[in-house]
Amino acid sequence: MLHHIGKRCAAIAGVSLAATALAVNTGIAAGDLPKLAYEKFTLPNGLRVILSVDKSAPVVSTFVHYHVGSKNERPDRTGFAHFFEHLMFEGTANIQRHTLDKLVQSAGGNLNAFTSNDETGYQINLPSNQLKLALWIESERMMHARVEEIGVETQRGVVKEERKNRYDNTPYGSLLANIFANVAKGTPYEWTPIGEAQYIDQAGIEEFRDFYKKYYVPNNAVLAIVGDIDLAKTKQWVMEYFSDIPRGADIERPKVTLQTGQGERTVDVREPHTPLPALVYAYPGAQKGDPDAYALEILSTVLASGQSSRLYKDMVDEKRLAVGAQSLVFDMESAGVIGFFAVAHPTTTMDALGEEFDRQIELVKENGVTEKEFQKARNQIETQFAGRFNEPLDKAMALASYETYFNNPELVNTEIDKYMAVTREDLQRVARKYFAKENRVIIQYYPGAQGG
Amino acid sequence: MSIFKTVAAAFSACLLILASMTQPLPAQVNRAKQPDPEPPPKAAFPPYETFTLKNGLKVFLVKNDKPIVTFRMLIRGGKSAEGNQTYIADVAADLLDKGTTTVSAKEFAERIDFVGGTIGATSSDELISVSARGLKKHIEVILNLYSDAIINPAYSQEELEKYVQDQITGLASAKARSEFLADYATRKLMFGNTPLGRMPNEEDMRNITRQKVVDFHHTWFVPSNATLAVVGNITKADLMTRLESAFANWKGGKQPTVAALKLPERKGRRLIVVDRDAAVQSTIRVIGSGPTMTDPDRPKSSILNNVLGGGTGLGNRLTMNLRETHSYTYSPYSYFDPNPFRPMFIATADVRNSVTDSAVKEMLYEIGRMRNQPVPGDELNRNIQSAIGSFLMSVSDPAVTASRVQSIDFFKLPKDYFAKLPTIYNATTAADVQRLAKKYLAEDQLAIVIVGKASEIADKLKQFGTVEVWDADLNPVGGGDASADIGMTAQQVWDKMLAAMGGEAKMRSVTSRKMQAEIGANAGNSVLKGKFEMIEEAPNKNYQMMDMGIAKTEQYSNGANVAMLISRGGAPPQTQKIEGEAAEKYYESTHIMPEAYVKDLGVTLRVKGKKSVNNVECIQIAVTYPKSGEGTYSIDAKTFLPVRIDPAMGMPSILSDWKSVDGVMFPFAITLIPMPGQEMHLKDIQYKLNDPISPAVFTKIQ
Repeated sequence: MLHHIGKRCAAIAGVSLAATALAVNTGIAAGDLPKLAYEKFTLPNGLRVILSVDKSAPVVSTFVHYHVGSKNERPDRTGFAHFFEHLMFEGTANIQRHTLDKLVQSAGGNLNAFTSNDETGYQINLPSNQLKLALWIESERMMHARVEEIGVETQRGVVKEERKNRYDNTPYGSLLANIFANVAKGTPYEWTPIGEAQYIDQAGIEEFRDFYKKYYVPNNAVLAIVGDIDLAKTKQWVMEYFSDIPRGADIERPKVTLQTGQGERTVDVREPHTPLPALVYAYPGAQKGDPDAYALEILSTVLASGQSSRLYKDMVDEKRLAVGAQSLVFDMESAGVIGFFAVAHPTTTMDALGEEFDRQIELVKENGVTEKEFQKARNQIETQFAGRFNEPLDKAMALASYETYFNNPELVNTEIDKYMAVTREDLQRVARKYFAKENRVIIQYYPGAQGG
Repeated sequence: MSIFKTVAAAFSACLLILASMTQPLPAQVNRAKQPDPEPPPKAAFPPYETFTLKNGLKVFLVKNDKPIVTFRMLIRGGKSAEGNQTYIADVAADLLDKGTTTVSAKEFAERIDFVGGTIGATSSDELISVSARGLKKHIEVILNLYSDAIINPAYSQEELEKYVQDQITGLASAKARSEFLADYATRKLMFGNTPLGRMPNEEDMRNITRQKVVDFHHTWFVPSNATLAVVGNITKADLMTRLESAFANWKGGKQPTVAALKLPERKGRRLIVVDRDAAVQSTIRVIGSGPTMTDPDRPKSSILNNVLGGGTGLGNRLTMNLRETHSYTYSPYSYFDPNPFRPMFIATADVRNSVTDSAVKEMLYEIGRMRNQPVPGDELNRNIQSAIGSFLMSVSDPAVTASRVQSIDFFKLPKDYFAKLPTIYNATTAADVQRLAKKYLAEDQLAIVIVGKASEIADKLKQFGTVEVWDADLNPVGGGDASADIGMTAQQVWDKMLAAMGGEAKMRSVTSRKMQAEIGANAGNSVLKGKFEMIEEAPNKNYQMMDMGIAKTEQYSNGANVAMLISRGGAPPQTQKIEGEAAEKYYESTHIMPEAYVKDLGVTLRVKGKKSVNNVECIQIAVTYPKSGEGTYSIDAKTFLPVRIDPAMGMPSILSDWKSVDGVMFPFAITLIPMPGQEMHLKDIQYKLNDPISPAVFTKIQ
């Protein structure tokens, strides 16, 4: 009965799992899963627009995907992209401060946003007769958002509370920050979207305005609209609201290469709210769209998805070494991180967890996976992707993401082929390629005092 | 087909670009003005079909065109049906997917994982929900496993033991989370000593037997006590055939009834601070009352809540005040919980320690404003439209429709209950909202629960009422003495314990004690064996040694400092020292035969109450040392020998098999609990009293 409301915005690290795709079951064609129809066009100012009709309910969802995330930040201004996501709710030239939410709410809708390493996304859900309201708000935010001292000051406090709430006061809340700080050291993936509070405090108002001018431009965005819409009318309205927003300068995309071969590193973390010791192995992985990224995702499914997966069965159920074990797959735009995470059973030691991780990794490297495991993982992934479009917003987000990262929304229907192309041998190959000891970062969580 | 669509899309995009390049830009819109909406869409309550199986199970089907099929069975009872065995409903639900009488737990997981499906169950206050989900093309496999789990769960001893072990471990980490403590503190306050009010503890977990789980399942998992909702691309006829076959063997007696719960009376303000010393934030709950699902006030209370702290945006009053104006918190919110036993209003916020009192003040202010002033028209209308919009959007999700259909049946609501909601929302007036606020959110009836660092926040909270501080077990700290409940003072209980142990004088005549034992500890499935030795000399010197082969620890306590020597594997031994204040605390509770010296040590005693510990009816005495704080002795109410000691510092121990050594009683079976869920057993214990001890024993590495 408890529902969480108002949890707008999630600074997520590493876009994560499920870039999307579907795999196919033995002997059953991919064509089983319904295809998604859509239309795409580009405005002269560079804004790419994707429309798709879904008449299952009288509602519409819009998703504006800005191609800017924490990896676009300066090392001495981390947290900027996420902070901007908050600022975008402050109002615009034509929308009074603190009324933006109310406009959507009064129309019977809701809105939200999130920031990751690579992207910032804005979501609005409305009854379908209110589509123009969403277009007005999003075009206003793209054209002339309020970037003012008063809003900056308010959101500074809010973001600090968000940080405490999600990261500082939560067991293992610093997990992703520690993984990225070490595996991605020396690159813009080194920090997570929440960033460091002091940089937002240090930044002046001009810096915020420059960030807005640089990244919140139509040629750096994709607008996806899905719902009970009339295509012709919707196109007309999109042109009316978005065409007069000026194009911005071209944006240079940071090139990222994670360092490899510098030898194994071990990091100990002691935090007072850590209830049980936990162990992480993390390695550089494959970036979004890389064939190896699909193989790594299937491999991680074999290792840790479901109660019959290897890590659960061995570590949690049979040997009782861990209370939970999972694999970690982060496929970002320009890099990947892969690894394992287990929380120790009270009757076990950190060493025992490490030995079991080592054993599992060696097993896969030496023997690969069985045919049955391979099929099971493909079936699991197929189900995952068959069930991913519950709401129009899910479709809008998938279409926009494929456009942003690959200039190809059709991947919503065809990425399945990339999963299909992965062979059982590939799983063993990627295990050998990526689970290399000299690239490994070991992070050990111990209950205890801060610092230590 | 997809090629055609791609081409079509590219073609239309070209046309659009051409159009926009060769023609003037589209007419400028008036940006200063919010666009007018199109005519409102009509939302009908989605259609569904219903039928009853031969065994009496009622089924609801909501059809869609998606490749996934889902099943959700609701079984009446849940926590409210637990009786005296706390957590039994959770066990019955959580172990449902751990194998059946014919399929082992491992095989069950293997089969459902292989088709990419999931099966799981959860329990709540009034029901257990069992769900299955997967691709329609695997419906045969999924339904077979699903029905087998519901009808014939194995509840094997092995899985039960693993589960209990995991829950005990999980409990330790759960208690490190403020939200968990806030939930259970609220429950304790609202539901008292009923199944809904009790926080599970280690003892309750250990008392769960396989037979109790089987009995619970037998009573409550009967077709007449359940309904099933199915969502998917399937016809009624097909589904009926499949379900009749899958559930053909499910029979069962008549529908059981839930006994009425004796809830504590709500009267006046209660203000509880649950002390969590590590907290950097306070989790605040302000609790009022509310309507049940069937109460006519229920729909309009949604509007009240939308204005105050709910709704779908950030425009509600708690957010505007606490988040946007004051930056106290990230996400405050509120809701009405239509709990059938005690419906509640709950407003919640996580705030940093230093603004805890300010945040409570603002929350009470906003709640007061709901009672004292009518909501202005535009604000009211906005929230009404929001509620209607949310309803419109919710009908797009067949799972929501299915759960609504089940709710109508479960709570015996009118058939058109949900379909009518938009009309009722639309008719809500400011006077309605104010009336509901006065009825459910009366100032003097609001309870406040805060989980946080008491030493930093409690003083400043006194302005809101009498502050009661609870510990992480939700027991009052330094709280009331329960002497009246047991008819004895703490000192009288203590004296009886000393008499049972051989008498105070006899105990004080012990000047040294040597103890040796074999030690066994479970590590995963294997058992580690080792040796344990302890040598003590009056008043408080001691030496302790534990040698487990792979690791050895020695501890030298000379009465002033403590030095530890830890050797692991082949690694060189490490030394750790405890000095200064930490050492003073340590020595307070390490006196030889400490029970006989409580007065000398300045210890205060308090009766906590009666409790079953290790299946023994005990009296619990809180033992508070001046420096190191409170510990607990659980003393057998018949023999007056200690059953379990939870010291202020150090690890808890469970004691049994008491025998006399030179006229003083000692335990000959001891279980040490270094961490919840972990146990070390001492056996073949030998004691030797009053031997001369060489001083070097305590000072080897000082």
